[in-house]
Amino acid sequence: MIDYENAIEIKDLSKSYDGFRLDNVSFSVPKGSIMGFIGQNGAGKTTTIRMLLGITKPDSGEIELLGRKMPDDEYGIKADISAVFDEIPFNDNFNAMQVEKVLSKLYKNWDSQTYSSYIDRFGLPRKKKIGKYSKGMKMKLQIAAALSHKAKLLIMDEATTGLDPVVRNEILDIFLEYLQDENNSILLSSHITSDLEKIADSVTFIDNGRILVSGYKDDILSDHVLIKCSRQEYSSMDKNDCISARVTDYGAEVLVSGAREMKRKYSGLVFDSPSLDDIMVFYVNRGKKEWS
Amino acid sequence: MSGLLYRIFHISKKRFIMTFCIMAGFDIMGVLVMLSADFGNISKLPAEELPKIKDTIYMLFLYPSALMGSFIMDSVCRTVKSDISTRWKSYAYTLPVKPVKYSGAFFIMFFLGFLVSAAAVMVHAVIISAVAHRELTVNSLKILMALLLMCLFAAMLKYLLLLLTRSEKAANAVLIAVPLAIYFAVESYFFYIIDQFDEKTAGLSDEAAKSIAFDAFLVEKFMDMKGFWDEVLHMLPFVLADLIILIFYLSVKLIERREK
Repeated sequence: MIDYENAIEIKDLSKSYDGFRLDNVSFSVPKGSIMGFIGQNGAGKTTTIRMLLGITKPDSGEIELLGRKMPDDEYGIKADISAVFDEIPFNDNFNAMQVEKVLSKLYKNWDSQTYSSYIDRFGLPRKKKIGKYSKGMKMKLQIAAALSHKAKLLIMDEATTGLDPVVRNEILDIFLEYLQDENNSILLSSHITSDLEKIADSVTFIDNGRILVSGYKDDILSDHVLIKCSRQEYSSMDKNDCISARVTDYGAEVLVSGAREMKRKYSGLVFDSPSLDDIMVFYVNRGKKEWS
Repeated sequence: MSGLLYRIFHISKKRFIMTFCIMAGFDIMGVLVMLSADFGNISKLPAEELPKIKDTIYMLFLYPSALMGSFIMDSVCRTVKSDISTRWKSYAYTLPVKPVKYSGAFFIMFFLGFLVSAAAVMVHAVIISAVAHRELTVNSLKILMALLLMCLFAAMLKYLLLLLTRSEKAANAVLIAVPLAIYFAVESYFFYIIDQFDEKTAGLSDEAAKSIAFDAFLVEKFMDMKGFWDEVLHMLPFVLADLIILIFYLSVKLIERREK
């Protein structure tokens, strides 16, 4: 068994489409952790994930999954990873048992007992056609299938999008249980940052095909601070310190990084802790600097 | 691979069953018409016309059964169509399955479809021949098998076109265009024969030209063609085998190519 530090390690990944370019994307997901991959729609999350999974070929760059290089050991790696998409990939005429019949023959490590226990736990009907499942049930079935072949890495693309908070919580709990085994890792792309705030160890922000911030969630949250001030106070601030500012008739909210130094520099102002959502929104608007 | 075979079978199953039901209906209809030719209304037609009518009825019920085989083999293509509409195609790339195995599963299903169709067509031919009091000739069986092989080839070609175009409409358009092209080629050949006849009779007096009968000229050309097609019929399995290997190779390459 190969020993590795990072479950995912990507370096300078690039891909150009008509009107879009993923530009030298690099980040890593430490083994045993969960990384949130955040960005607005069209930022490049899905393209990055598709390249990680071998669905799309990158123009350049290196991908290492579970300590093995892609695509050198592609099929060996794929036996140890699981992918969950925002839409179920199985035919509507299948039921949960038939999905098992297909997948159990494709994965050497398939564990029928684990699958069965997830099906019971999620309360999924075994013989009901998938076409008649609700969105939440479909997602649960995908997750049950993804967790039943002893995968070491779970890659999820917008898996929790469109689900109600109860189902999302249930699924997040399953992820936390999965991470009890320190050999398991998760990459979860989402634009629902509140989910990631709950469970992610690290976070990567992507915007317009470029990585803006990547690191441990707590470090990112503690390194950024939201300054609440009047418009006059904002105009006296050094604009180089500001990532961007939301300016309204009543005042301004300014996101800055290097929280400790900024708190010293602007000691007279009011400081607030930003959420991941705030950080994403302020970074996305960094080009405009000022927005309302 | 058995997981993939099960998946394809499950998606195509409905169409398989439907085709068998239609085939059984066709059998029953054939038997009833044949019985009518012996004991029913058809038997009351003028005695001198009856053998010809019986011949036509026999042909009408014998050969089209092979085309039903095309529905069985085409049902495998439904899986590819379903894969395009669901996320399966992307998901399949995340599975530990090599493209050779992935495409191989489809080809195994095509061959199984061919074997099942061949068996069903044989049973149909035996029943129809028995009711029609005809001997099922080796030549008839050869033609039936040749038709089935063509259907197998068409289904595999459609599979490749679906992988390439990701659209059933585009795949069908190409599949319709190929026989149309063959039809126009044959038609052009007839015009070529007529031109040859005109050339042969050019400059001859009407009396002399009449001595070269057009139908005799045509028969001569047809005999040449028949000789050619007899050769083709014998070569068909080998030609198709080569083409099928080529289609398989291209399908694997298309799957390996990944998505854009």
